[in-house]
Amino acid sequence: MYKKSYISESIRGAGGRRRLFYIAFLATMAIFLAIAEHMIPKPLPWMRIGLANAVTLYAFTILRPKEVFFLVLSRTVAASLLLGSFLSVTFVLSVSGALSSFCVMCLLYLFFGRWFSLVGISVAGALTSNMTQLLIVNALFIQSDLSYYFIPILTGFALAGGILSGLFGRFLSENI
Amino acid sequence: MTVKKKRTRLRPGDCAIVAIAVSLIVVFSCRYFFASSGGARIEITAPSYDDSFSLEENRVVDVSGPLGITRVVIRDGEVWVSESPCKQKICVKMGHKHRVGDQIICIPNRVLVEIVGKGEQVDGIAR
Repeated sequence: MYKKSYISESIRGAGGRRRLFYIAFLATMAIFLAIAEHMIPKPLPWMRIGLANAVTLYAFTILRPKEVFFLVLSRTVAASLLLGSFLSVTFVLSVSGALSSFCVMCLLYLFFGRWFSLVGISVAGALTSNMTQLLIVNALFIQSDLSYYFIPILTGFALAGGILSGLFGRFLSENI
Repeated sequence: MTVKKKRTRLRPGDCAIVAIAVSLIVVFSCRYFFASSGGARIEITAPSYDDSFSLEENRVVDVSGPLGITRVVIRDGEVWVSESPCKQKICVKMGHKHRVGDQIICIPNRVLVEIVGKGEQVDGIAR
């Protein structure tokens, strides 16, 4: 499905430590960025840039999809443990957003990579993440048509944050 | 480590994604600002009064409450309270309302004016 792997050794093979090292390194970086972003004061709690997503984007360029999946999962769980939101409402939302945006970005990167740059993939991921969170909030917690009034606001934030984190991901993939 | 392929330039798909996002913003904000009053009704509730009117037809409704008569005006798809016997006139100062879910409340005179839409279910959290 995907082209020849970019770091050639498999995890179980002789050079597998290198792949593991990359997963761990990128996860650490993503956790650091997520927590740093959490510290920035912002007017609304769900206004995020999604810098951790930039690391995921960069990971797509050097790792296999399965490994990126583990990276995404481990960074969401670890970041929520460190921030103290593990198994709370915030955690449910962030995991669902991260997984859905991973699926969309993975599909776009693998099958439609010819038509998208990292910025476009990032915006698509941010949109998916925000819309999934809205759907889940609507299905589980509020159950009202009124929450669809948030769609324009959320889409605006997704657009801005997606472009920013996409540019950051591009910067990473060019400079590391 | 060899990087697979550098994706530096913007590609057609990026423009498409951004276009989708912008159209989502435009469509849903239009829905919010314009389409809200279609088929909406105004419900006026007081201790000895309970009636509902269409938002489209212009009329003036006098509602009698414990203090006296509260005058509710419906005109050009908007509703407001023009006169009220209460002290602070908060209901008058609430201004003109036109969106589904909007309310004008006069607590001293026990009058509630509410714009209700079809199939609208709003609970306390959302409001």
